[in-house]
Amino acid sequence: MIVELGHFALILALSVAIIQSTLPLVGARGGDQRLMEIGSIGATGGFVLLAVAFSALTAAYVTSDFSVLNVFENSHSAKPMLFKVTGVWGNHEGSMLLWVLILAFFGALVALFGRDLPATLKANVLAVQGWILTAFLLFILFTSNPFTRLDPAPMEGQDLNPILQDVGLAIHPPLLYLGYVGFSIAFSFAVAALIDGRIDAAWARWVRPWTLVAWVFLTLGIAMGSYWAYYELGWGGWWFWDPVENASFMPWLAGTALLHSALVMEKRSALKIWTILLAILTFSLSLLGTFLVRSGVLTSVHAFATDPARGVFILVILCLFIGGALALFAWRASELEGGGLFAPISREGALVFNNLFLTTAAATVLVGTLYPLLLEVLTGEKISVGAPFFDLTFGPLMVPLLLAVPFGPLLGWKRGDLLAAGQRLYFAAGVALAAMILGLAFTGGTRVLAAFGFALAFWLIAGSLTDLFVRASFFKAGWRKGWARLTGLPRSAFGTALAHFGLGITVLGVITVSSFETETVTTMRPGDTVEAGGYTLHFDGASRRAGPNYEEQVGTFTIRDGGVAVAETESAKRFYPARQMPTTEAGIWTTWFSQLYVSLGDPSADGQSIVVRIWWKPLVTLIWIGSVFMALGGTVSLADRRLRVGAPTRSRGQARDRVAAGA
Amino acid sequence: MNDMMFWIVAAAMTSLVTLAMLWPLVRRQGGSPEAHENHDVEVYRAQLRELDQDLERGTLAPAEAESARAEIGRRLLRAADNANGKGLGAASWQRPAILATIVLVLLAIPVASTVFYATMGNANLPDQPLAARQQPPSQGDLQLAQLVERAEARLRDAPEDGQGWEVLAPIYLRLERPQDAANAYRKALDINGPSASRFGGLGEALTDLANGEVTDEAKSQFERALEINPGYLPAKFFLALDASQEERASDAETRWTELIQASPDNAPWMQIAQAGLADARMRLGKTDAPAVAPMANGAGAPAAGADGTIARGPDAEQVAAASQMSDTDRQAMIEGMVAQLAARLKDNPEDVEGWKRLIRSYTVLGQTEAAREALAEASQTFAADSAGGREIAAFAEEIGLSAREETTTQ
Repeated sequence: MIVELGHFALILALSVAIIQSTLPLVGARGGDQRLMEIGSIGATGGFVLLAVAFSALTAAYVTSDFSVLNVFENSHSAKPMLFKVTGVWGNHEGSMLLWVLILAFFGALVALFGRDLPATLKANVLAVQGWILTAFLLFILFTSNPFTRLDPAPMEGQDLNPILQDVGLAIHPPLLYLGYVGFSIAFSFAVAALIDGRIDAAWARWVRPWTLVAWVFLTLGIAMGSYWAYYELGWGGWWFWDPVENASFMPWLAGTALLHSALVMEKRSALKIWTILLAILTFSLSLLGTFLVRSGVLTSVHAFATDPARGVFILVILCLFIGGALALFAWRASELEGGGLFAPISREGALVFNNLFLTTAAATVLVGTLYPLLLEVLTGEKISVGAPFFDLTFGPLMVPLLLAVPFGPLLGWKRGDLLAAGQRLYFAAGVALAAMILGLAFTGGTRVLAAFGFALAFWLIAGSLTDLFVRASFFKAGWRKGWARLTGLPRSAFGTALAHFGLGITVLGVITVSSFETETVTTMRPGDTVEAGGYTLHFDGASRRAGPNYEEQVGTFTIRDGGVAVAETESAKRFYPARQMPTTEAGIWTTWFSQLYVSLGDPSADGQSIVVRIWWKPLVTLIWIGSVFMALGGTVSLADRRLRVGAPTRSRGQARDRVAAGA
Repeated sequence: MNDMMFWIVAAAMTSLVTLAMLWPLVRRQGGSPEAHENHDVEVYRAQLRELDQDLERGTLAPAEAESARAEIGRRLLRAADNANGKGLGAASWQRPAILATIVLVLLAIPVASTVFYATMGNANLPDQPLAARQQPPSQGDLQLAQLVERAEARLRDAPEDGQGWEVLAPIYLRLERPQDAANAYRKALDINGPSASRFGGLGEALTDLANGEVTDEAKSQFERALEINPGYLPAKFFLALDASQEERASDAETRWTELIQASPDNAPWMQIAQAGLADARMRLGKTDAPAVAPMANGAGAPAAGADGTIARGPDAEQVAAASQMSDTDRQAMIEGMVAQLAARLKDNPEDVEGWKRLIRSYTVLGQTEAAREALAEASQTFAADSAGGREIAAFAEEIGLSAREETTTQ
């Protein structure tokens, strides 16, 4: 009965979403408060109903109810409990359910925390959310219903794809979806503004925090996915420019641009129309990402053509929302009031520069991702656009952007002084130069690009610290007063510095690992040793073990530093009988920020020796640590208490009370 | 009972949601919303307050603060100007319109949800958590598992024990661990030397590994088995199956015929052999009767490949899923689909095509008795002289099935 109630709740949520997407809109046009309020109730109720549906599916997974087709196809009674739960979103149907659950969650947040918003804006926003929700609920119910039943139920399930049975991948999709779907709020605000034909002042202040939330989650989600691919796929790579990765990277690039342009809009009321367009584009890229990953178009264009129901459905949603929003934009944008003016050399100007490069980068990734697909559709020729393309296009685009990053926060609003900002960055430039010289010296002058990369990374790191230093004006005001000023800085200033610092850290990791990693592929017998990264890896032996739903062959290695054993590591090849699939469990030993990565290949015919791949990955963890810093910066910025927006009240006394309560 | 409970809870959920949605409408009067400009004014005031705070903390230079204050002040004045005397107006809806909306919501949510659910859901299907369905493993299963474990442990210590591999191999095959079975047969071949049953077993394991497709590698094993013992029937069976799978119809016909002639009547492969022969004949145009579905793949169980054998037409993904399943799973899935079809026909019996499909499915699954029952039911549904009745009768004759009444008289 629980399963069927979940199914019913899902359908009920659709009815509610349809009402939510129409009546508030009518209310906003006619100025009827009552109709507009339905939006808030619908958004909250829809979220509760979808939570019920999601819980019901989870219950079916936990109890291994194989009378649910989805559970049968993706679960197994022997699977550890953790993966029974995460298996709920480890498949197409379940993950789409999670997608709409998060969408409804954000809608409910707007309904609950949006009391200060102008009523018509809120009603319009919730109506637009209602459209998105309706579209995706229809998609789920007609093409990907997770509640389809099997009767009689089979005795055993087919198990979740073993490479997905992993903690990293268990939290990756929810994070990613929180990011993707979070951008729907910015989208809804943009479309609502277009419907209303005006941009409220509150609009600007709302878009930035929502974009920040989405951006923080997306950043963490991408970093998590990258780390997962690194340790689970056994190839030691941390980014493959794979279409699935690009699908999440494009909204991130656009979202980063949006974040910065929303800043200009909030502070200076400028770039309003551009921000609206960017909000639409960012969510469009999120939808495109969903389409690419969910339609099956990536596995093969032909597989897509043989079972087109899902893909075509999402494609229709995609065209409807992107096309509709852009058409609305084309129609209404000219009626919107533009914003303030600014000189080219100014904080605004720097942010425009940022936007220009980020959107171009997003477009580059888009071309690199879609071009092979289009080519295959049109000519049937299969090409792969891999790292070389992106190294040649994306890389050079990033260089000027990264060079400019430290300047931005040091420029004044409206009109800035580039020279003064440059003078303040002398120290950072010195650090960068030193890094370059050291880099050249250590490599004997052969690795110019790597040295330049080091300089860039340290330029970012030192630049972000300079920003805080200058704001606290330690030199002018002295240490004590400077410290007091530093602690008094608004949190968003720390957020900016942290995020830019994290960017520098990530760049440092990327440069180091791509320039100085070493790879050894060799056959080893027990007792053999291999040198890597200044350490000696000793192969102790291999053994067989049985896990709950897999068997594995484990190789044990001792890592020695100058003859002294410093660590042991295990690398395994697992075999999951239910799916007849092998996976690799790489042995990873972390020392400081670098890692020794050991992956097992196939044993030789006589079973005496085994192929072992050993990578030395200098500073590789900085890539993800930097991302965590970026996300942390976003969170700190989000906690800036100045983001509250007061609501208009008739008497001044009430207004003061509310401000006091909100502070 | 279960059914009742479901509808009670569902009705409670529906009414709760519907009433919540109606709540704003049934309240007596909604206030008219604030004008946008008032909101804007408040936002700008908040910005001014923040400006002052920044200035106090010293995070903003006085000169910058002054120009920012001027800018915000300008916007504030403009917004306040616009706001003056402007409300959004009480253009509130009048009673009839609101009443109509109430009725609309009141009807739309319950009716749409119920109708939609009724077409998609299975209200009468209870949850079937595994724990509730599972019988404790029988003594025999437990013993078998223990035996296998013990044998495995012994073979780890003494991998040269050919007899051990020989015993374990067919057990693996039965436990659906084809990879292990293949390994075990290979070891047994290495240590004990070639024999028809070892080659045959290896071939079968390889076939299982390939989800029931007789691969070239498997085929060569069967051929070797026959070289050693030309009368080894299992190898003949798989070679015949290979011919069917590769659609070499005349070869298949010869091979199936040979196999059937050489096999005892109660041989486990007889049914598939008959079906394979019929299929091959049909392909050769020797009979116009479309035979029982040929087994596209799957050694033990006839598969889901043939058209029309599956209820409700599975989508490509289900078929793909089916081809990855082990034979028992596949069987279970097919049975599940057939059961769905049967249930649907109970509710909606006027479906000639559905009955034909159901009967054929039962035949393919080897459930002749059930097929007869279905035929009898279909014959009762359609009058013998109606179009439907004639079609059913013709179909029964076509696949060589007679209704139960007749069989009892035989």
